[in-house]
Amino acid sequence: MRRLGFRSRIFVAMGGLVGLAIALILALLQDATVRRIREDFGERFQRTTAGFRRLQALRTESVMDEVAALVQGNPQLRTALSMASLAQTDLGFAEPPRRGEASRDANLRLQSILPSLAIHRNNDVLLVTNAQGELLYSKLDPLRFGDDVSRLAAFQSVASGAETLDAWSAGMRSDEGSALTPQSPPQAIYQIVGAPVVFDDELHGVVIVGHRIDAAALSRIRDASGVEVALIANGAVAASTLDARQEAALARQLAEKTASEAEAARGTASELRLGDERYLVAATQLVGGLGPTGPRFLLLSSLDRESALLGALRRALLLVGGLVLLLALATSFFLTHGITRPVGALAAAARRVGAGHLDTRVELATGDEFEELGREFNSMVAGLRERDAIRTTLERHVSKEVATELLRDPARTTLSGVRRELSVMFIDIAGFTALAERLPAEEVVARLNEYFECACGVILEAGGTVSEFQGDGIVAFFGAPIAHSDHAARACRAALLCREKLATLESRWASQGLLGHCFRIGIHTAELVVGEIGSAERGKYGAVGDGINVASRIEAANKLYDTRILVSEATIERAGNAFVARELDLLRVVGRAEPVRVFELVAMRDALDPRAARLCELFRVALAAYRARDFASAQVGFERCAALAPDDGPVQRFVARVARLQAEPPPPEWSGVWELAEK
Amino acid sequence: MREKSFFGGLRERENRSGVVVYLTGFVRTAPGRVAILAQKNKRFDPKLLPIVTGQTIQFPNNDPIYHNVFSVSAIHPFDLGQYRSGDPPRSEVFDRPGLVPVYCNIHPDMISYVVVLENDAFAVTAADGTFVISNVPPGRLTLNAWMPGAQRTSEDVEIRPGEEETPAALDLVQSEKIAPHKRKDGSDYPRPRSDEY
Repeated sequence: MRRLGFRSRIFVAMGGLVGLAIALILALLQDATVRRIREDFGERFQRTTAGFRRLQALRTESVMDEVAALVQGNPQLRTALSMASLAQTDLGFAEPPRRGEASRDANLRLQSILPSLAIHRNNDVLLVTNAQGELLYSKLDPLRFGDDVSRLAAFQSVASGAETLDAWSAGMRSDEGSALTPQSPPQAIYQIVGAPVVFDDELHGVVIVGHRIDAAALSRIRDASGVEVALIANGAVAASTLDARQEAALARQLAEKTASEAEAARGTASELRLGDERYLVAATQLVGGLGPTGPRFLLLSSLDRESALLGALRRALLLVGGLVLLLALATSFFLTHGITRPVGALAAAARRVGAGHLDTRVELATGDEFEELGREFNSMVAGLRERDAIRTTLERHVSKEVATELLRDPARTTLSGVRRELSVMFIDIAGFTALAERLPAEEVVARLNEYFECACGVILEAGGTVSEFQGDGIVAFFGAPIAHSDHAARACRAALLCREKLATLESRWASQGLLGHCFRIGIHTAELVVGEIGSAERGKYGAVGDGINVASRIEAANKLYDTRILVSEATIERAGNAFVARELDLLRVVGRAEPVRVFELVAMRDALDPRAARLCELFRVALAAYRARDFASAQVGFERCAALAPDDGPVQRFVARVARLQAEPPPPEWSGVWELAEK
Repeated sequence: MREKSFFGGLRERENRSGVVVYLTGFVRTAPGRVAILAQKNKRFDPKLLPIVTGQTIQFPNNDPIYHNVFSVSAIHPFDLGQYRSGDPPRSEVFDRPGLVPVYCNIHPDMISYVVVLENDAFAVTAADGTFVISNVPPGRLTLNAWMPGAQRTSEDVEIRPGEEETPAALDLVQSEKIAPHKRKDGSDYPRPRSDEY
């Protein structure tokens, strides 16, 4: 599997980081918001409860003020109550007090007074009793009186001077059956406040008023507090600010008791699901001291509606996050572009260099490490170029293969001096010196180069080393610096190839009337010292030894036999069987005692034509006769050769030599060695 | 038949004044003396006024403002109308025994308890709770004590002829007075003050 590219990895990393950051922020936000909502609800719950208590206190004060104002401003009312209270007084006279009479009178008076008053209109419940708790008037049952309501908590607390606050359900009646609260609606809850009627610090009556806590009253609480309110009494919803559907859901849950579990922990918010909406809910008593089953408020706050802000925040955050992500990706795009572009340029340049274009340069003006890298790259290529130049130079002396070898593995080659068997080759152009005098200088150089080009090419190709040029001569050797074991065969093959190539050149030159039949090659194999020879500034890779001279002499001997390629016995022995050579002579060269057996290199064995083969055979036989001093047979033999190849140089030479030897027989110690007088 | 005096006391209260102690069991018509129930400092003075049947009460207004005196009691309803201190004092004769609460229709806190008794054998306690009832005829009688806001308490006594003095002690249970209701902030509910006019 291909690994992700650099830019893709940066993209993925950037995207991942930004995504992670957004996810973290979202999670934190969610957590903080939910906690905040809960805290906020807790606060609002406390505030609402406190506010409601305050409202209740205000209501109590207001009722007491109202009753006090009423009593003070209305002598009929206060004396009616006072009389109804004092009528109970038994002074022990013969005629006892007529209690019923007083109550009836009071009821009648209250019927006359109350209905026209605001307190009567504004309250659902209005009860008036005397100081003993005898009912004198009830708004809901105006004609009834005399009921004993002294056991009502509302009455007792007023009579004992305590705060009077109570909650009554619908359809409440006195023990004797007087209606105290309206019958309907059946769920209604009335908040009850009692106030005393006092003369000179003495209780002369009690006024109890109550008003129904309805949805409108709850709405006021909701409007002030921002939480939904439901009034719960007797396990049912008495009133609420919820919409009908949710109120129904709450009623169902109350009936199933699930809601009461949710509000089990009073004062602390718990969760409740109404329909498809989640609520935080907490409960508080309507009136303190009514016990856990008394009427109570549920304060509800929709968690979902509160969380709506969170949703909006989340959307905003996702949008912003998306933008940041895009920005991050764009930034990473430009940043990575700043990296991948120079890297790409370097890669392309490296490819071009790989393809051999050493003139390649990269120009990176990024002002950073890449620019430095570009500079280093350029200097590296410059180094390669230099090396390439060296190699090119080297290739003029040695073949590409050798040069490669040399550059690749300097340890295997020896440029410092070493003694080693080599095959040395000399090539020369007969008559070129004379020609050079006739021709213009440019022409001379051009011809010479033409010939060098041709010959050196062949030598290098065969793995030889061009050691030096001596005028129109070339000195080359095989077997160094690369130690080819078949250096003799390589030399012979190169010689044959040279002959072939140079023949083309010769025929062109001949057609131009310059020179014909001019190239001569001599090869000798001997142990030589080879190495880098010269001063520090100027030198050559060359060989030193007697073998060099021998090779030179052998090359020169071509002139004697009018041959093209002469090789020494040492060479032909090592060249192997692939070559056909014709033994020509035993030559004693100048300065050497030992004669050298020289051969004319004829052709590759597999390219030998039958005529040449025949000539070689005839020549061998004739030469054998010649060596055996049987000059007559030799003459016959050589003449046969001449018949086959009239233009063959050696044959002509030997025909002439044998004729002379027959005329002037050699001394008895003659061993067939031919003294080579000239160089 | 010599009439005798009756003395006694009430217990358990610092200020034991303001309790009417009276005898029932005989009837003795009113003397000519006129009782005074004054209006002073927006109060009736006295707050408890025992009289004998047939006695007249004069209601002088001693305040520099208007006052009214009226009662809606079954045994003696009356209304003297509103009058100033300079106006001639108004009077009312009470000829039926019983409790007649008297109010002022201008000032809501004003109340006085006129107790119209069957005879003149009554007294109002001093601060130490003592009382003396003189001119008590012999016989089996009932000694009663009452004050506003309390249940009457009584005790049968036998007055023998020739007895000079008869000691007696009565317990009277008075209901707690209502502590004035205070507002949440501690202030009083609006009510008339006696030092204001």
